[in-house]
Amino acid sequence: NDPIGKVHISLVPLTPSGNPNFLSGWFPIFDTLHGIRGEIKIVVKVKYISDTKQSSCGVKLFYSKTVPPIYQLIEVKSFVEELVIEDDPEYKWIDKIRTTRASNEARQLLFLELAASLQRKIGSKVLDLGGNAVVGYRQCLDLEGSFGVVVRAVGTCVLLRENEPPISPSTPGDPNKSLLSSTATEPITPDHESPNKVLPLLLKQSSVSKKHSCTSDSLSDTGTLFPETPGPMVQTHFPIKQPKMASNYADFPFYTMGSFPPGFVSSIGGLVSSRSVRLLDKLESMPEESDTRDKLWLELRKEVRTHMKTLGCTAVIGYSEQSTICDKLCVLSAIGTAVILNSSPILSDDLQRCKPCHIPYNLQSSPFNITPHNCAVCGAGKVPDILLTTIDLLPSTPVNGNGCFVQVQAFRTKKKQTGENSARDIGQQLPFLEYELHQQLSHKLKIKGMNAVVGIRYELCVGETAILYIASGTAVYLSPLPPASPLRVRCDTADSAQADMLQEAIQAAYEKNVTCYNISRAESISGPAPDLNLSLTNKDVIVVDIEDPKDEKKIANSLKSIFPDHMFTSSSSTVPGVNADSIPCEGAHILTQICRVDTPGLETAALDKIINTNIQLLCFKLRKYKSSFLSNIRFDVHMPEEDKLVILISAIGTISLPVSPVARAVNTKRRFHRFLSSASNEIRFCEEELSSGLDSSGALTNTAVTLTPADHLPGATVQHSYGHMSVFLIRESADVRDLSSFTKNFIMEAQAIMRAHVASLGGNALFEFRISELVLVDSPQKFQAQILLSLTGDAANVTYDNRQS
Amino acid sequence: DSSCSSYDKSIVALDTRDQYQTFCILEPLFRKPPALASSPVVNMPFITDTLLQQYYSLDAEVARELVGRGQKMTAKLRKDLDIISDKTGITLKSCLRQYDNIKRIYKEVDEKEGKVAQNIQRYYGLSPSLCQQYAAIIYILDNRIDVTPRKVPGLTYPALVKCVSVLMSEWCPSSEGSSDMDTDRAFLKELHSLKDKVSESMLVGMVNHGCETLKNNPDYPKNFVMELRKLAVKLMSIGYSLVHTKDYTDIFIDLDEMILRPWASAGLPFSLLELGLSKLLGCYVNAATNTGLYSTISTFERYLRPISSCLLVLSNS
Repeated sequence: NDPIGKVHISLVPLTPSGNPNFLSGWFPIFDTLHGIRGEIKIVVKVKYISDTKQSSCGVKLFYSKTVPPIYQLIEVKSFVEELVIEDDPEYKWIDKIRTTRASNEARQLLFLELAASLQRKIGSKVLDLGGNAVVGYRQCLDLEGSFGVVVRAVGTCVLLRENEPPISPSTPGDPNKSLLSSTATEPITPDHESPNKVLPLLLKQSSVSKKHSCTSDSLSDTGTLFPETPGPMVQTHFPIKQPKMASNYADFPFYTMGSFPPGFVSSIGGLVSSRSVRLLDKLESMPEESDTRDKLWLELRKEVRTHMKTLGCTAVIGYSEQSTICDKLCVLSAIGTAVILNSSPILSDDLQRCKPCHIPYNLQSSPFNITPHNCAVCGAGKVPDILLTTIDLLPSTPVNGNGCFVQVQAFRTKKKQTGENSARDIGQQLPFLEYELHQQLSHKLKIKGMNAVVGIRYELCVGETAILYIASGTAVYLSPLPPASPLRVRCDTADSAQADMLQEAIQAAYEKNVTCYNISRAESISGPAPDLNLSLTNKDVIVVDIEDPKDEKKIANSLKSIFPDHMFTSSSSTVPGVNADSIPCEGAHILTQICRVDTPGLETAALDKIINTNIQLLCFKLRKYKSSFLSNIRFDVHMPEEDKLVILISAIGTISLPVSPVARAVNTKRRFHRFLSSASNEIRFCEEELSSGLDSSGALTNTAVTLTPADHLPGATVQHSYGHMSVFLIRESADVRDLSSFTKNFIMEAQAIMRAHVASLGGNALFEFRISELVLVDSPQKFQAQILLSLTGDAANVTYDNRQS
Repeated sequence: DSSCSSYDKSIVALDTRDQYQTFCILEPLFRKPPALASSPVVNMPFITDTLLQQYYSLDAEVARELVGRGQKMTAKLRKDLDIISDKTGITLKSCLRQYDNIKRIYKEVDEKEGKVAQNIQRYYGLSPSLCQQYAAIIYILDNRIDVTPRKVPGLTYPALVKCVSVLMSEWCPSSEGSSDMDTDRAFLKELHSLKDKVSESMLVGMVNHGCETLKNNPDYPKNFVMELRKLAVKLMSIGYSLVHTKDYTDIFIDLDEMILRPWASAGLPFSLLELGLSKLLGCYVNAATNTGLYSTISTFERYLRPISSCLLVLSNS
């Protein structure tokens, strides 16, 4: 009577939204106690009659922070958010008498149902707002233990229109041709020399045109929507009407999108964030639980909005919400980049490309003590000396040299406390942690000779005995901003010789970085720095006080670059200053590294070392290649157990082979195979993706489904986007000999399930693939372990360019 | 490896551990390659193929030892693998893998119709050379052919594979219901029956007659024809006895002891062996045609041809 396993299928992609109305494929049969036990062929056909319950059929959700390339952005509507709460089956009384399997399956199903109901609610909101899709969708699962489980999501409601199928994707360099051919009925002559010319809007849907009538002043450019995104997007040249921003956004002008079409962002104010520490048992007494949680987030958003206004900005972009829960304590945080957003794009000439970096607020009334500098590009505007943004680099912003990945962390152990005491403790610690984090970030930037961090991501994790705060992003030298001022060491203790040595080391590291990242010397400070004038305090030079050996060690540690010199690194899909298209790249591999660390007795330095080691492990996999990219580097931290810290590091490793253009036309598969077999005879299991237990690249396996955390695949053109996909899986075992193998195997199985779902729709790629939750609990004495995974991504069908040739 | 040099040793160690973990996931699938190909979990077709070939790779020294034990793959042999490991300097783990692989493939293709190498190729997807090696090993094990290194010193693994492959292709037609592991009994019986038809004197006579021109040729050693005569007689007596299983298992020992060693001890170079063997067929055809044994020519040829190539391979090794 033992069940074999189950298959959960979501029919959402089969609803009328341009997707096929049937799916068919082999689905892995998954059992929470035994893993994948076999496969079953399932064919599902959906006949759509009518939408009686306003189920929001046809609204597509995309995890991608950019508009999928087959769509054209008509209008950005507004911020949408939703939250649902339910009791966690694992904490119900019945769990005491039912089997582990039943309990796990009940949870899996509940999470799926909650996510689906959340998506319906979001969908209804989208329809109410007049949109038809959500981009930058972020779904989070908050396991509040006995208080229930919360599934919440945020996103940006947009109105999209499907592009006509690409006519000549092979001639990407000729926009005129495809432009004319695709609009033969209504010929438009693009005029590149006068970009201010107004183009008639081509609207086919009457409902859309009504909304659009107010944008008659919208300016035009026949460029692409998101020119900074390499790959297929740039190749679809269509008469792009300028998208616009809806003026009647709901309450919050927040956008989860990570990048905007050029001309929208007029000025960047800076990071805005807010955080709150809550006790869950205080919430429980209130009547409607989802209401109270809604209120919590509402408060947070209001605070962010206030910060935004303080910075003289009109919108928050790259907005995200995050929570960390430990027992009854819950820390919620919201963060974004405050900007001034134009309701329709104003395309400025080259001289004005520096404008977004200019300080938008009045310096006199500014609440903080900042030293403005004159913009190094135009000389007119005022710029700050450091800029942090949650969004990726704006496409037009001038940069000096290459960007690189930067990551810092602040770690504290804390006393085991409960209730109010614990909340107070955390509340008091957080500002210090944040200070430490930013101090380190600033030091690292100085050493790298850079002055901004784009695509910054904060990951706060509170456990019972520790707090970890990680910030990661892409460091870059923005040309408008002043060069990084040198890092100076001041040593109060007598040993000045040591301080001198450190100072020399800093200078050497700086020199090396400037060369390595190709930063032009004319703009950066070089040569011996002027004498120190400490009366200037922290304004002109950053002074590091070395008070105890720990400080010194910390600085010394941050000097070493953890990446090899020839590797380009980034927290997003692109490396600022590097045109990925110009470098022949073959094969993108997902690399995942999971490390578990015991928190008791752990010190920041030790943790630094562990994290660096794990990043280097990723680099190690790419060691064979002369030049390589490590992009989409991302940290996820969880402390599901009292004294264990789980860090999930994921990245895409892209190798670039020195291949001549002629040779590139050769079948990639064969070439790669040969490449592999010509490698040395050492044990080569897992040379690349294998090693991290992952899956191989699109270029290699044209027929297989490619999972990628990025929003595009090099050399691939998107033919169809099926929308989002999310899977919750629980795996439990009472016979775990090696936890990391167990985890690795489970992740491989989970990916297999994702691939099967994508393939059943006819897709062959999953973009924005994330393992967004990873709850890992084990008791090694009993050989038991339980893992909960939440996997998300956008399913799509792509064709590979090199296959055609 | 120079590319590793810039990394800390601990990184290399961690990465190696990581590789082994992946290997642990893959290994059960390597044992059943069809499962590997259809596995939803492992999605790395090109690399797994390379790894599969490596997983089934054989070390000549180990394989030579394994087939030279004169026993089928017994549990005792598996226990004694440490001796082989010590002798060859190849790790016990690797020896165990090779032992298990041979045993697994043997079990899988045993009792299957058709050519063993093709069956291996079909099921395991191994490279042609590997399939050939496994087929040869299985043939040796299945027919209990004695290739104990002590008894046939100097018989190297590649030579062994070559010889066995020749024998398999010439003497073991895989007809319906049988595989090329079974020697054609009818042929061996026919060969045996030649004993009554072809007398020793006929063999001596045919060599004398056929090699008339070489007898007084100063380019050839004086005893060449004499030795060739002896060789022809011995070769045929080996052939007559192959019908007995015991003698068949000793085929390599007999070839070594009765043909190659006397040839060498007579001071003749092995380069002349090739010429001599090629002459034999012509001599026989002449003699048989003259004595009305025309019908036996094909049997003789079927015997002589593979044996000649075996002898040449053996003499080279």
